[in-house]
Amino acid sequence: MTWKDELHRIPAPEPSKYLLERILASRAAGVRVVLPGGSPLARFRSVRFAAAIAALGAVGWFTFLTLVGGTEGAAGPNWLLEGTPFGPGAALGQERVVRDLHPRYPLVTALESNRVRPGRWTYERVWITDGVFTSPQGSRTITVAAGRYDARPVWLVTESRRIKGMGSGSGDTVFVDQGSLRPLGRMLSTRYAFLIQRFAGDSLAETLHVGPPHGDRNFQGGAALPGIRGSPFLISWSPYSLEPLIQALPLTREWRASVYSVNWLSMAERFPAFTPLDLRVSGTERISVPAGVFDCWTLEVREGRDKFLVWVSRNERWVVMKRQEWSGDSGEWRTDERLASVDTTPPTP
Amino acid sequence: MSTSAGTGIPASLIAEARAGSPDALSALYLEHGAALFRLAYRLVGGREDAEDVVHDVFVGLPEALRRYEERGSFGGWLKRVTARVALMKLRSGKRRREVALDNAAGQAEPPATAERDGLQAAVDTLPDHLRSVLVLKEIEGYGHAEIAELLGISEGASRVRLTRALKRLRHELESGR
Repeated sequence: MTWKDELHRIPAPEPSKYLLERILASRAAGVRVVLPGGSPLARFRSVRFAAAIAALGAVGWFTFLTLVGGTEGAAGPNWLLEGTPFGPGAALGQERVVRDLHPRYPLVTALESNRVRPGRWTYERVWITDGVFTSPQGSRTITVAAGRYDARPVWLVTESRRIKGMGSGSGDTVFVDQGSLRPLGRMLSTRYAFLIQRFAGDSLAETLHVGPPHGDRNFQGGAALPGIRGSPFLISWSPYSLEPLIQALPLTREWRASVYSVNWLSMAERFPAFTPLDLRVSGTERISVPAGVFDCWTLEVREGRDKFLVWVSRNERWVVMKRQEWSGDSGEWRTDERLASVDTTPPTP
Repeated sequence: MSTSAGTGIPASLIAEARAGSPDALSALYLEHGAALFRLAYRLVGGREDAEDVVHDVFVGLPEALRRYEERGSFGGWLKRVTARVALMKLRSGKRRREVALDNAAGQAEPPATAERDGLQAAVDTLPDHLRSVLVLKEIEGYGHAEIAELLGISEGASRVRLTRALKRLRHELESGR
């Protein structure tokens, strides 16, 4: 293999798995971007434009070259073109890929699983631009109900959403062992895909069917689960969904621990199948949300380079608010999910 | 299933995306997002900037599709649009420096051979104008005509830059042994 072949093998990272959600949230919030064309027509326009500008600048260019002397030859003194339509302005780098595949803290082992209570938590989702412009995006409801799975007592955890630009419907359904809080099964049905994951012992088996527009494709795979035998897992159904595990974590001022999140094995080419979430209590705060005023732990959640903030009520251990922030050339955005209502009447499974 | 002429993508999906359907946009992202991100990453040189590029491409896609003439490969068209957005970002100079959230201790890197590390280091030493052509030609597989169009230079200049880039790269690799 030559070094030119090796060029193709220089690794590049994968995008954050939350990028799609960010894109859809931007669309839903009314953000619009005018893209440059991708057709040959644009080339003719740019060539004609370049020719006109080049003609206008020819005299000055010649004078400059005469005065300065040396050039780079045929390519010209490119630094002079930086920032113009004629050439790229700045560095084009190859960057080493960094993936955080190791937990930053010891894995969660101590749980107060008898604290977990069923209920229904509804969050209102708000998109905020530059800390000023607020756009309601809809709501997300997490339901935890008692049930049975393979004759074992489980928490049946479901997500339903009605989010602007992201549609309405159900997310994952997850069966979580009531003692260890490890998932035993997971189902997801979307318009384009149907996913089943089954957890047994230290292994995971996955079946995925993808329908149109991707054609009819099926995937079957399995993997060994990472981490300590018996330690809990989270299902990566939506960003930083922590229920019902959060109710069982023995949070204190200095508490920190990691927990593995299970993604799709069939997407392992794009995202690691298992990624550690690093959880750290970063402080306390009293916050007001539509469901009331709560004294909270502020919990910093990191997954690789993605970082979220979660406010957890100190008494009930409910997730009271979640926040993710981004910034770009055109502004700063954040999404807040604020607890809007709680119903602790045991829901029917 | 009917596809748009030559695009390999169902016409109905493009029509839905053109109308702003989140489901259709999601489907297109799942099909093309990772490849576009890698292209953007290699052009802008940073993960966050590359995500901004892909974000902008997909946020602007429904409106851009109204101008899309459904000629040639849809994926190729998306790549050209992405490359242009990435190059615009380069020219604007509004890139963010990558800053690790924490120290690098404990962070894992993908397997890489010593030769590949050396090659990447050599690529990193190239000046911007040579590196951009090298990446577009040798890694992304663009032709000189396309590179000339994307960078706003002549095809001849693109060839000259590639020759110089390869010469310097070879020199770097040989001197590093």
